Amino acid sequence: MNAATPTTDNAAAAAAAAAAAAAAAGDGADASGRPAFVFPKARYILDTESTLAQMAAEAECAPFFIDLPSLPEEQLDHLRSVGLLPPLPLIMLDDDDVHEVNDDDDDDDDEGDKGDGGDDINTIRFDQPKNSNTTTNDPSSSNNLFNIRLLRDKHIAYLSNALSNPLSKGYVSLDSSHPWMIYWCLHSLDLLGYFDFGSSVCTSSSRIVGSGSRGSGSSSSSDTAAEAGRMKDEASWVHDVEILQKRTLLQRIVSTLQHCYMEVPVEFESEEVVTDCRLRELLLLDAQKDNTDNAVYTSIGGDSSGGGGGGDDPAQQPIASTKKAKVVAVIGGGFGGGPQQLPHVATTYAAVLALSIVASIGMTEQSKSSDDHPYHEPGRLAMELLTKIRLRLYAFFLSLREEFKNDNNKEVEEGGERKTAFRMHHDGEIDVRASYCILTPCYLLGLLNNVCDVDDDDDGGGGADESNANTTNDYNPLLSPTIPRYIASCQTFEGGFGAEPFNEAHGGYTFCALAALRILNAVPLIDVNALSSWLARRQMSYEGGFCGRTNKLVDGCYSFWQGGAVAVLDSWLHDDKERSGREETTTCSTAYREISFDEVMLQRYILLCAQDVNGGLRDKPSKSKDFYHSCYNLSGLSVAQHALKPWPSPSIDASAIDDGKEEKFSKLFGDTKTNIIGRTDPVINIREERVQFMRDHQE
Amino acid sequence: MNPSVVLDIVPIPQDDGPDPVCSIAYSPEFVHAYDRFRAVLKADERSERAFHLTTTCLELNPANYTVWHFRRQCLIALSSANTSGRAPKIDVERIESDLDFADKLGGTNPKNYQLWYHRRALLEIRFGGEAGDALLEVAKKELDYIDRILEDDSKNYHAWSHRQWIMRTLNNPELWTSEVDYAYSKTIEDPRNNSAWNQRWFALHEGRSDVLTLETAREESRYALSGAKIDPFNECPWRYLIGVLMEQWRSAHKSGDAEDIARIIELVRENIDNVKEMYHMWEENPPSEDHPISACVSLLSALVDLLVLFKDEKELLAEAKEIVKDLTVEDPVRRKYWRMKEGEISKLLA
Repeated sequence: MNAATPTTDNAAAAAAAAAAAAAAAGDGADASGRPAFVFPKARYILDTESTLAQMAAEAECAPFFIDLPSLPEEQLDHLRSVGLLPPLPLIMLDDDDVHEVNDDDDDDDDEGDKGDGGDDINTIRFDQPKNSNTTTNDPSSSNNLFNIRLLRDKHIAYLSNALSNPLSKGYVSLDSSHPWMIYWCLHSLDLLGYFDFGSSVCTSSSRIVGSGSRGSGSSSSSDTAAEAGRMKDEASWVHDVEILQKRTLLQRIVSTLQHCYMEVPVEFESEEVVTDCRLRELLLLDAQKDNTDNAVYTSIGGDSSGGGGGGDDPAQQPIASTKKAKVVAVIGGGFGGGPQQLPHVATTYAAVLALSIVASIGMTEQSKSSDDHPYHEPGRLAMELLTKIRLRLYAFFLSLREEFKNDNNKEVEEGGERKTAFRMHHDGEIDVRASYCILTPCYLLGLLNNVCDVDDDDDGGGGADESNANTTNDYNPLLSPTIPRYIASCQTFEGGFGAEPFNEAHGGYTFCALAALRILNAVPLIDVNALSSWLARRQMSYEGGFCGRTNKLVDGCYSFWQGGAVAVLDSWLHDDKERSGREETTTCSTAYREISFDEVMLQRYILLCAQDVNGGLRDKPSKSKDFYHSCYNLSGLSVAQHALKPWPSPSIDASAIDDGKEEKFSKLFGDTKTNIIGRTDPVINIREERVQFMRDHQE
Repeated sequence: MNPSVVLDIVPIPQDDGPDPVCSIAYSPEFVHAYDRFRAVLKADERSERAFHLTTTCLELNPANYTVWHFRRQCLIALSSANTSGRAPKIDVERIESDLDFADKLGGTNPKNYQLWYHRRALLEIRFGGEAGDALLEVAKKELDYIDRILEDDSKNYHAWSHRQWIMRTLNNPELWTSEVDYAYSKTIEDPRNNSAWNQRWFALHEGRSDVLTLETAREESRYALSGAKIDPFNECPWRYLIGVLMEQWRSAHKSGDAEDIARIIELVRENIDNVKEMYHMWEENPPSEDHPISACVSLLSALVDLLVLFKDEKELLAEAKEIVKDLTVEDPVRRKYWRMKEGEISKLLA
């Protein structure tokens, strides 16, 4: 894919093209014929720095919101040539079809989905051969000439190129964010269906084959059987090359992340280790490792604890000595910003998400059995790595805890409620991001229950059956009520959350706080009304996208931080009603109410203002694209396109039975046939299938 | 290249494995510096030359938290102040010069976590070594630094957050009072600077979760309405008003004290009347020709928030319902939210 479509991705070219595409349009009326509202610009009486900036932001978006059918034909042609608008329906060259189109046409109709520019069809010269219309035979798109499209292939080219080929030295500022870059690009590609085999999400490969045959002028008007046979071969050629490239890419991702993983010694009080089966297990592993290193106890297998050895199981020793020592060191681990960088929870979050995506892509049974799935090997490697390090991550995370006695950290004899926060890394900042970045990997890796899941065979005898050995009830410090209490204390008087208590409410921290509370099932700790009202106010009246804070500007990345938070809260509110309403019934038959923000307006902002015509997405039209904004615009687009669901979504088997795998959508903006992307899990922000896979594979 | 980057240490290249993804085409000087940094890190060499090496590395990439961490370890190791005590110390001169270093690296609008955390980590040590007026002096100097940053970007999130940390750490009555004034000075520069409104809330609460006194709450509601009068379309004063009143409301109802409850009910009613009065005033004399006050979403939604507090008073609820219906039209991007609200109010009315 990358080799097939070299990208000419330099900022200047992008800016120029973007300026040219500033003619891009759409009148705000959506494809589903919603009544037209007037979406007012921000109102103000007093000019201030804030209002001037706001006016500038509106002004740079305005050209994208103009009425498309009113554009001169050259500009429409340009939009078609860059792919923002569907190509003209070549099938209609037949006289009959042209008539049909013209019959439908209201010349002065300004609704994007109706005006089809029938006049122009007569004047346009079609040089392309008729048979190339295989790529544009979609009847609905031929009726919707003004439906804006997601530039799927261009985004794929931008993102896969970023992963595959070295980045210019200008990227050194991201040198401590390697796992982030990988996650941003991989998750985006996954949303775009890059790794799918022709399922619900469009695959790029099918269209690359199509465009290949269309593009080659030599294939002209010949449609003999022999020609068709040759084409088919060419298609499978391209297909096979692509599969191999993608598989290699996935493998490289796992390898790169593996090199970002680093282990560090962390210390615990001995009492804590004694009551925590996971820490005990780590201690055993370390002891074995030491012993193996010293070549004393060579008999111990590498996979798990003492293989049925007798009473002198050396693995028992560390625990006994633990009880005497005050502080015990175990080996923790996490992913750093790059090779040989210290573990950091944000990059650990990104790395675990990326590895989960790879594991799920490779190991989920799709149409084929898992063994001959072409991505099975990278998937297996990713899963193997995650399984190997999960307890190390757990220990690392626990070592980052910071206890707060009460406000201002002053001693209060009674009533001072303890709160637990986390640092982002050792000797690093404390804020609510850390809570989310820790809880999410733990959720995916099954580290958030009290029931111990490690082989913790105190008797040393292998007699006990699996289920028994795995259900030791141990204290899990990540379930301490002090953790959600800290998160809740970051909610401000406005309703959103700040980085630390009393910091200003902000979209990024609000998402982290809410998602973390959702994972912990602790949403009732906060003022839900205030939060939902604050979130609603963050959608910009005119632009349709979200801003991060009160009186700040629209930015495509908040499509997810705020839009995703709305999805999390809306679905929680619904699930909560379900729970309190009819506890007896187990079905989730009640129709989910639609998401509470304006999903069409958000899609419109993303597709019109945030897309760079050369691929990649951005903050706003005056900003350049980057991986981060590509990821969170697409994630926000996903949230806006897909109907709400319960969280966690039921396991794969259950959901298949439940609604016959029928995906439900919200109202869509633009070209509904080509714009649909995968459904992201709004709490975790990887595709829901990926989350389901990880949860189904915890045992 | 810094001349003190010595050459007698065996460089350790970056080990990113075969064919890494998202690799960066580093400049030769970047590779040179970081190969040596990995070497001193591995050897845990907390020396003067290692310290200088971190300077070079951070100039090349100020977001490398590993380098910052190691730099702090060097600072501690190199400080004569570390005699015996348990808490690590760093010489004052070294702290001061490193604060300057972080300042220069960040430029006029520093926005990376590492730079700000470095200040915090250093100042934590610095504050620990001072007391009384000397401590206050150190803190004020840092507050001045933050002020300079806010001059350039009055909404710099890190800067405000850092400011709050200083205030909380010092917890000094004089500073709390002056911070209210500071927040005010930033608010009048731009009444839409929400960070400044937030800082006022923080300063008045002195960083604690204790609720304001009813008297202060009354004053603050007046303050908010004065702010709203300048520009009723500004969301900040309205949400500040709701924040102040809701805090009182919740606290009184939580305590269950009948007198407290009666007093806050009175205060809320007073504010409802004031808001309505403002509304009618603007109805007659529109604040702007372009924008009728009926389109003032911030005012109306604040009014709704106050009205629906009275869950048993049908008249107030009916009033709220009418406003919400209007908002569905006036504020179309939020129409689904307003319909949801309308449903909730209808339920209360039923």
